[in-house]
Amino acid sequence: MKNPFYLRQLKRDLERWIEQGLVDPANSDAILASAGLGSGNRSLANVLTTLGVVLLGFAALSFVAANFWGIPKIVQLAILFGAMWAAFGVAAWLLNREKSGYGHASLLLGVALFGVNIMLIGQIYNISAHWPNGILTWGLGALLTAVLVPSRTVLAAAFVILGIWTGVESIGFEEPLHWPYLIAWGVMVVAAHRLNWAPGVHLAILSLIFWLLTNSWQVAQLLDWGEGETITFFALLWATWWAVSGVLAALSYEHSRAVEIYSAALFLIAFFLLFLVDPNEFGGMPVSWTVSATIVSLVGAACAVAAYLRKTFRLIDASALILLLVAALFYPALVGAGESAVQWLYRALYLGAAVWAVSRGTNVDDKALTNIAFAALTVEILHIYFGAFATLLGGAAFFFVAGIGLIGLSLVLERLRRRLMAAADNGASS
Amino acid sequence: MSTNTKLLLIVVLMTMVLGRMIFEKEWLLATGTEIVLKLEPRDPRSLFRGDYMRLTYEIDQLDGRLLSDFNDVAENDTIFVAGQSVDGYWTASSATPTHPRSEESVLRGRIERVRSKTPDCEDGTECEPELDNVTVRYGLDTFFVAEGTGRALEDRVAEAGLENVRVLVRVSKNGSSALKAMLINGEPVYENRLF
Repeated sequence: MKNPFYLRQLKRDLERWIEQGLVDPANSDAILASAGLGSGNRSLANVLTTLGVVLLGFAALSFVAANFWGIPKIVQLAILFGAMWAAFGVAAWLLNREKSGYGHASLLLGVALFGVNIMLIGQIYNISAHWPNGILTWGLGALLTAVLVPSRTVLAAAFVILGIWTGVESIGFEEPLHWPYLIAWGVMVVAAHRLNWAPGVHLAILSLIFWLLTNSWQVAQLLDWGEGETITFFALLWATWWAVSGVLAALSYEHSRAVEIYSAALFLIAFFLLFLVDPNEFGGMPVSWTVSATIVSLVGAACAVAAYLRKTFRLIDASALILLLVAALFYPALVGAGESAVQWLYRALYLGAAVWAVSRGTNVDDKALTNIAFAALTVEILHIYFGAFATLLGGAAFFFVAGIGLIGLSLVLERLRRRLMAAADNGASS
Repeated sequence: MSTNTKLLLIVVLMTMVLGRMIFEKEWLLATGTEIVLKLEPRDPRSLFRGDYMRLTYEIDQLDGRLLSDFNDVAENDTIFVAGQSVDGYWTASSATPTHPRSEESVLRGRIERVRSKTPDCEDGTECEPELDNVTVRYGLDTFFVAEGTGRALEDRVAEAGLENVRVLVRVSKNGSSALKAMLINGEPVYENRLF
């Protein structure tokens, strides 16, 4: 299946070319079909088939498991190996007959059975090694299959399994910096790009975000950072990633927009969370935090400047990101002094950041970014609104005013959002 | 490389990985040194949880004086417990952080819990805390039984008494262990056999 973002852009371009008389309207369906549009139905069939095969696999396993422990060990092992070999055998037969949907589903079943076999053999022999190693072995088996065959379905499974592995090591066993995951992640990222698979790149970004969140939290605990410093660090990290996306765009990386969307969303969430943190939860800015935060901020600022020089960021984009980095960097130092004034200043800054993000989204014609920015703007306005009016009014009067205000706000924001989207669409088609 | 060759390579590698897990344990069961462990009462509730058995051994609790070779004892540390047969049961005689190559039967475990005590000094003040005992896990405390047979086994153990239950364990040269059999009044009620 082709890149859905490309297909969407192609549809828009075709409409424009037909209007300009460059393309015969009779050919547009054929052009879209040759580009892969319409394979969505086949993709849905593949997904349903995959789910059906997985459910059949679980049905078989459940039946066997109910009677498993009563049979001799040699029979147990024969069932385990036989099922796994059968799944791969069926996958080979189906793939050779070009039934790729069913074939990859069977491949997924074979990989799933490999994991089940690791678990059951561990139970049969009471193997008491460090049990996340079993998940790692399973994930490596999935990754090998995904790379060698190659298979997008199994690659998705590898992302999930290895994500669970790093989660268990980081959270369950409190491994402070689980760097071995990055080696596997690197291989998965390369595989997703070689397969030209956009959802795989999204999985890669989400996996990296998960790894950064879990490991940064562990490191913060180890270095004795306060909750406030930890969240501030996350805000700096995601703002830096936002700047990095501009550099990636300058390098013509086709998924730079996805990186920008995720980092923008996470930055706006992290920055908002700062307002919810009690100033007492700031631990006095340990030296380790100051050094780390400064380094991250400098990297972010450098990337913002580089993106501006390479013209993937406007001056306002680079300036806004640098301002937000500086503001976040100094927040822990300022939050304790003049709490009310600092809070209102940063709230105004947050509103400005959300408005800028809306402008950025419409400028690059990215509806996802625009919608995320609007959501952030709405949430912050509501937060201020409820906070201000709740102290001024009591009881029924508050709810009445709040209700009227909400309805009015939603109408205004929705009209503004649609007007911006329409302006962006008109700009693209002209 | 054709698809068939790739899939054959994958499934052979997976089989080798699984086969290695099996071979290590089967070799241990076939060639390891056999020791007999004494069970301890676990708690007043059922010995069995559904269809797997939870066992507690006398050697799970080690006196702190056995760990004199440790500079610092912490949870999740690896521990090697050497022992010998006393009154028909294998009993711990020393514990070290590395494998004592001179000993014949050594069990490798992991320290699960560390308990300290603060003794009173001669002048009536409190002395520095010292190690009281540790709880060790050897990977022998859980094994699965056929569905529906757990309750019957529990009744047999309760009827016979823990003093008549013997757990046979095979130990390798590097300290790995595997549960070989459980005997009640000399009769095997569980045996870890391939056939």
